[in-house]
Amino acid sequence: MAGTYVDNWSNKYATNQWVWWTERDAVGIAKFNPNSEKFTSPAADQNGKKITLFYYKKATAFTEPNSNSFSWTATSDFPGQFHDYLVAKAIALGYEKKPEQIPLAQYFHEKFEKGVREGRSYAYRARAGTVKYIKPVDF
Amino acid sequence: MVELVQQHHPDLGVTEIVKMINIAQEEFSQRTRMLEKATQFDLATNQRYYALDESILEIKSVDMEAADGSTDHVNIPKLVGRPIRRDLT
Repeated sequence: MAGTYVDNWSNKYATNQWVWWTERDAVGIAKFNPNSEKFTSPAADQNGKKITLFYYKKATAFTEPNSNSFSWTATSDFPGQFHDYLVAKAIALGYEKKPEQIPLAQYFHEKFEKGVREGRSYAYRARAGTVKYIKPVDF
Repeated sequence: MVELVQQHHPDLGVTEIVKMINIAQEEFSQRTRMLEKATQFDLATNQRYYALDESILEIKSVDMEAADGSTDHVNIPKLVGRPIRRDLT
């Protein structure tokens, strides 16, 4: 039946379902009725129900030193094999401040770009160790 | 990491180097989408929007606690676009 499917929340057949979207730095959650095209916010019955977000995150920033302390032992969230690329980017940013050393900045930027390519590959494989092979096809 | 940068830039202070490493980390995070995490919060009556933490780059998926009292969490789909009628609550 058009417009009828399994309600992903109550696990019963229904004409509406819970959906999410992002807007204004927030996640919106509401029940959508495709027939009336209306969205309904959570009611008292749903109060306290757990929502789990799975997301890609930024790395935790290193705390800048102050007069009291600075942690020399703090480590990056990224796996160790990528730390050298982060250092390369910081070195490049430093060389950019000196016009006569722009070629050196370019070298370290390229090193960082290599790290980004390796990082994407690492993230894509999700530590499973396998690489998805996509067979090329001629049309 | 700071010492490694200082080998090339002994004239830069630690604060400036830490800022540059943080810039590098942020760009690396955004471009590789390598770091993943999950977080939970509770739904509230009549509340449609829930603020996202600054550390969240992109939401991969959303699960909602089942209504049958079990511990199951059910994946809910992403809406394409946004509701036609806007509700700011």
